[in-house]
Amino acid sequence: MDVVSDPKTFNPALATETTSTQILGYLFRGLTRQSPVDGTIKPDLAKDWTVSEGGRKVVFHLQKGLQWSDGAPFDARDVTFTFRSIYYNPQVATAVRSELMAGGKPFSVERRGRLTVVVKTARPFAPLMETMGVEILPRHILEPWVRRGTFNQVWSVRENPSHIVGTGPFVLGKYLPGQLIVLKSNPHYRPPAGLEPSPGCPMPCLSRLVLRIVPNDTSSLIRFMTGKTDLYGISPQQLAVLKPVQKMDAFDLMVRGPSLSESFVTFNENPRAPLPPWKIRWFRNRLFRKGVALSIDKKAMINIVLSGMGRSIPGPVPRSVKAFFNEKIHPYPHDLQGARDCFLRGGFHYDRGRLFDDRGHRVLIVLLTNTESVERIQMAQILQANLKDVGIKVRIVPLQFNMLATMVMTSYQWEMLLFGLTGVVDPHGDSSVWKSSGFLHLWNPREKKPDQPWEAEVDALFDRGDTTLDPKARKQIYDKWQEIAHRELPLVDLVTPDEITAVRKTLGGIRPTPLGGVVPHITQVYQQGVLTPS
Amino acid sequence: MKRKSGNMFRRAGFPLVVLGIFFVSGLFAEFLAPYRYDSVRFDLSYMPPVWPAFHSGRLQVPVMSVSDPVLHRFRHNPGQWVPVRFLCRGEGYRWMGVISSHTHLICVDPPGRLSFLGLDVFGRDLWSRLLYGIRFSFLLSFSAVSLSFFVGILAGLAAGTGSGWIDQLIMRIGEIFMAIPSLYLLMGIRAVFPPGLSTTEVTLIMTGALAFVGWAGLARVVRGVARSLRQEEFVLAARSIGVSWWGIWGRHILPNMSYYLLVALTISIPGFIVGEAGLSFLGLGVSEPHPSLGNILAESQSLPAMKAAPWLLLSGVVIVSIVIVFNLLGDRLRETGQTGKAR
Repeated sequence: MDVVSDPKTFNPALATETTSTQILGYLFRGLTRQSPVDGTIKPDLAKDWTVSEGGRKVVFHLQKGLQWSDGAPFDARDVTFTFRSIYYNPQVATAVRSELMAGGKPFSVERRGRLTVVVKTARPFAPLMETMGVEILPRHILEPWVRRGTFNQVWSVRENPSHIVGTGPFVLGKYLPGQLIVLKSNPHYRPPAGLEPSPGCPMPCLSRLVLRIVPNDTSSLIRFMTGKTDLYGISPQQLAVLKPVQKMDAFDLMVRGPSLSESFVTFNENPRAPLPPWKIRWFRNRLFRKGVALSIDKKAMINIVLSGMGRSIPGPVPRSVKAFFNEKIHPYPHDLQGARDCFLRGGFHYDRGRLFDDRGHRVLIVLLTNTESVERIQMAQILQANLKDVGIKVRIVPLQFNMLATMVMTSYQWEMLLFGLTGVVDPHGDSSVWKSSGFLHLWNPREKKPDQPWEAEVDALFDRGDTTLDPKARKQIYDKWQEIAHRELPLVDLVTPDEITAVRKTLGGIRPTPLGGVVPHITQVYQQGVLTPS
Repeated sequence: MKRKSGNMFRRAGFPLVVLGIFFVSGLFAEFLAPYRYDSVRFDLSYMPPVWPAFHSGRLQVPVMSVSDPVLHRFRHNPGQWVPVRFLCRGEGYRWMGVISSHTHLICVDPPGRLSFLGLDVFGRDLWSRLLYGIRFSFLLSFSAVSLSFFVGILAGLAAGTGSGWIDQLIMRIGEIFMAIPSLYLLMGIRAVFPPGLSTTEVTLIMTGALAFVGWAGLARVVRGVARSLRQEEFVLAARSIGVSWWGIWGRHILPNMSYYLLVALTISIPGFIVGEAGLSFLGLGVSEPHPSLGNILAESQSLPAMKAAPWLLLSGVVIVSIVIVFNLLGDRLRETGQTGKAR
């Protein structure tokens, strides 16, 4: 397997970027885990739990006989330490803390004896069990650091690999910056309840995992084709290269259906933004946004950018999240006449094929996107051609990600943005985007109070969704939200690629899952043979 | 004099003819190209070259459609042909931004698509885009060369004939420019300006940047020649009867180095063409959908694109051939110059 960049830290509480979290996912475990097949909550460090007091109290029973990778016993004190001294410690710079809040208040985490933990929340909190998947850290190692107030420095990438102690199936064996990361199997690992080992194999079955740091996508592709890696997540465009050599290089291409990630265009509706006021008036006009949505040729995007391997996105919940996806909403069709009608009804008019607003301003928009993604730049170019057909002139400005983030999040100096977000399974995770106070509420971030009536409605729906425990009622709440999103179009959704992973035939225990890749659980993966160079 | 220049053109024949073809094709890009540079066909992404053929007694183009979007395979829709027309009405354009017209040398009606060299990812015609790209490269390098020659000659003459400290100042500044690798200097200059400028602005900046990088080498040689010429008797004679330096530059020094300048010109232009291509390849030059030889080449830099559409590499072939032809021309001119002098 290849990873794209160096990890920034080996400290699970401080890790934010994907390389670190991917590696730490093999080293640490939480009380619960989420099934990659259907998104249900499965036991991990906790063997079972009981919910009471209308969902406000959960009693977790930990699995017996668990040990840390250095042989020290694992017990409930580690859990209370992790929550109280690390995640809820204001001195610790952790991004996890905001997820571990119900109605703005931390959970109360108490210990009853050696193997029982009681978690209480101030009000019912629907995503509670999911958030209990956060990594539990070893008290016997980290307590001195917390006491000295230097926890933010511990377990950096310069740490001796053997000092990093977890409960996961692997331990860190070696880390060479810029080259590779080697993970060894953890001899003290005990699999969670209900997880069956692969036939004839201990858990974890693989004795080591080698992750090489390869920053360039083309190099990763060539490394996979020459048999240097066994698992590779590919983009649809790379399929054209891999498909013809599938048999010769002995790998399977597993197509797992539409990915969770979404791409969209959004407009700056922020009245505080330093833009000409008439442009903000266009962007706040629902009919204008709908007209744009109708002019986009998503089929061309799928065929060109995704080589035909993708789907158009109907709304904010990914299709593969069956539990919350609203079947009643459909993507906007490619309808140029409909788009023109929308603009005309929205107070715009045409003059020799060009679109003007009611005060005579030509509709000319600067579209930002990030240079790192070839797919996004191609989508932007298709969008440019589509909008030209309805009389809108678009100028594309590809920027580096950090610069783009500054312009969008800090200086608000943008007009139209083509961007993507990695999707989430539970809609609660979308609250930073959809709640009017959210920091990723891109079209108008960090509002003091909802600016438009429908935003107030979405805020209320998200609050209710958090506190409602009945799955049916929650689905109804989030269905309503998807309908509002589809009608108001603050984000005009584009397309999502099919998830495709190329897996060498020498690997066993691989099964495609709609939500979490091709590896249902890393401990079940085994090696069936070795590829010999011909 | 007339005999001599006739001789020169005869000797420079072959490269000059090839360059003439490039130049004319760039100049009349709108007319020669069947499509505009930004004319897309989203349904024909990466279609390979499809040439017109004689079918039922007429020159016709087969109508193609995608059979496998993943592997970019195409098939001919059975029985569907579209006739090729000449000097016909096609997409509207403004020739050199001035004369509006609809006339193209060759066109076919949709759903047929002329594809002499294949189409790119958005189904844009590579042949058409190359023509526009050649025009852009020539235009840019000619203007950059004029600018850098103007500055370089002026600086070289001033240093060559001026007093010691002017000479020192100009030459030391020139050396600073020559000490920095030119591609990095170009990138640095480009980075000073904000991203997201219009194509016209980018073109002006690139012209300026290329000239800014290119003047110093020329100034150094011009200075050397001017230094030696100022010792000559005819210059001293002109000085003694009170002719100004401007007069001496124009009457005595420049005519005596005209051959050298001509050769330098033919060697500088390909340098600028490559410079532009390099900047556009790195995404610092003109931005899509405007074509330049560099950004057409940049489209083919990923492995999937190279596999799906190897014809995009033709842009590199064009760059290389232009550079070779210019260098050939320079060689021929130098030889002619030397024999001319020897006579």
